[in-house]
Amino acid sequence: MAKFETALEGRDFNALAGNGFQVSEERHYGYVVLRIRSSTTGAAEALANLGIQLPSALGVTGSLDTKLVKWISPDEYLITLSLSQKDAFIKDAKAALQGIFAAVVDNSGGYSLLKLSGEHVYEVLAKNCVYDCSQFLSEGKVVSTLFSKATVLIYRLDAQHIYLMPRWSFADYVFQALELSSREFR
Amino acid sequence: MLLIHCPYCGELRDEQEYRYAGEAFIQRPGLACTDEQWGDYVFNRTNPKGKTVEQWAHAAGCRKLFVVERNNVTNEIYAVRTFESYKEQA
Repeated sequence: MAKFETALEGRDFNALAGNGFQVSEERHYGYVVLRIRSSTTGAAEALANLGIQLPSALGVTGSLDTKLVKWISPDEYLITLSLSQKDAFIKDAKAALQGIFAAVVDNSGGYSLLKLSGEHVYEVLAKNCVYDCSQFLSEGKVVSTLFSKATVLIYRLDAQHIYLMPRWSFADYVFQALELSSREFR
Repeated sequence: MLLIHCPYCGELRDEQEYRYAGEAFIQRPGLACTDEQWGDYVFNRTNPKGKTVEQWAHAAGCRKLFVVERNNVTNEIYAVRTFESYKEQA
């Protein structure tokens, strides 16, 4: 079996860690894009059978332990779930949404997921983001915005952690931006 | 720097998240049109000074296109609307 590697393989996350800022990579998640409008006929029943509740704008439902459904746009949702459950879920979702105007696409490997924590996390984000995370990124909120020049998804599920999700091709760029902007907090 | 309200995200966001997508409501001529009509459709824009009706895309956000009614002299934004809202009005 091929060795499992992420876009940030071999990067030293400990080099970024300081007293007030830590970064770790969440490796074992799969990403599934669900394109559907909540008003589509039959969508509500099919999604309920899958155990999915569609969030409202900028919201999330579920949790990373089961399935985390994130709002991307009015007809697009990103589901994060354990890599081991991903294939079975896609099969079930395609079966459940048969005949409904919807799409289920496996985008695992398309993103990198970084978990940020520490008391200086908002200061590091503020150096890179045009979005004011400290004021507006409340718990259970997801925003698509810019991190330096890369498009990222930023979300917060609890008080301590912020999840930063760049596309894999921008992961190294984001890592280097984090390295540079967190230097003063080490 | 403009702050534009995205009608889909429901929030004021920085201009850097958006892309300007040209004049709104340009009618594509029918297949039987003349070369002049086609050229006019492809190349000519009204280019007014003052109130403009533009398309903007929330490129780094929800990636949706919407309509911004803006003054290109003062940068005042009069209204931000979805295309659906114009359809409903018509």
